[in-house]
Amino acid sequence: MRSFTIVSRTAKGVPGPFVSSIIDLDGGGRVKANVVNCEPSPDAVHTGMMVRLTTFGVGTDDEDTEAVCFGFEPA
Amino acid sequence: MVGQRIQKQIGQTAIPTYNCANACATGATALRTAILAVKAGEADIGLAIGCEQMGKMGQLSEAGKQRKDRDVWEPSGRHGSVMGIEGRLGTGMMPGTFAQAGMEYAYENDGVGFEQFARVAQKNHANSVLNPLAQYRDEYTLEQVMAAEMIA
Repeated sequence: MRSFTIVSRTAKGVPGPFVSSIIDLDGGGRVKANVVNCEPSPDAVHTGMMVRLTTFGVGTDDEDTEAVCFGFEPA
Repeated sequence: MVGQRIQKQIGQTAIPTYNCANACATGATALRTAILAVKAGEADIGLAIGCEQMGKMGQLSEAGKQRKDRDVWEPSGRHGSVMGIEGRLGTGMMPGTFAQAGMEYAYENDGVGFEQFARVAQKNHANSVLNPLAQYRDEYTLEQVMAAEMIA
């Protein structure tokens, strides 16, 4: 984890608090994503920590199609 | 076309005018444009002027709005997403974006942390009191800044 922030005051309609982070990938590349399965607290998140890719559901539509989002969790 | 409107008041004397809009770097870009003209030998003197009438809500009023979730999802847009990505794929709002930039800077530079950024805010607010045209003119102590509500 190259950087992160705990977003406490979120945009309208966005649940919070959540952890937004900048992740350096093994082998190169850099992505922005949420850190999930982790308390949104400075005690639980720190720069330099190792994380791994994960996915999580973000809701279903009226035809029961589930939307899946990628994120990272503590490794 | 603010440049032309100002030029009409001070006299249209066949000097070039440029308008620039470059987010938070607009003032610096205006100044740089004038500097480049001088450095290039095109002008002896350049004048960079800025003016703006801002609302109070900034990005929170418009850009932060989520796209309305549809009843039946269809991928759309550059990301092929079915819903807004703010808060789901990190944050793109300015407080969080700059918080992440600051955290990265602190990570890479020893001795930089919360207090150093708080001191910048304290200094900037102190300067705003000296400027009668500042949008906000409130002074805060370092302690007040550090105890303020966490946004991101």
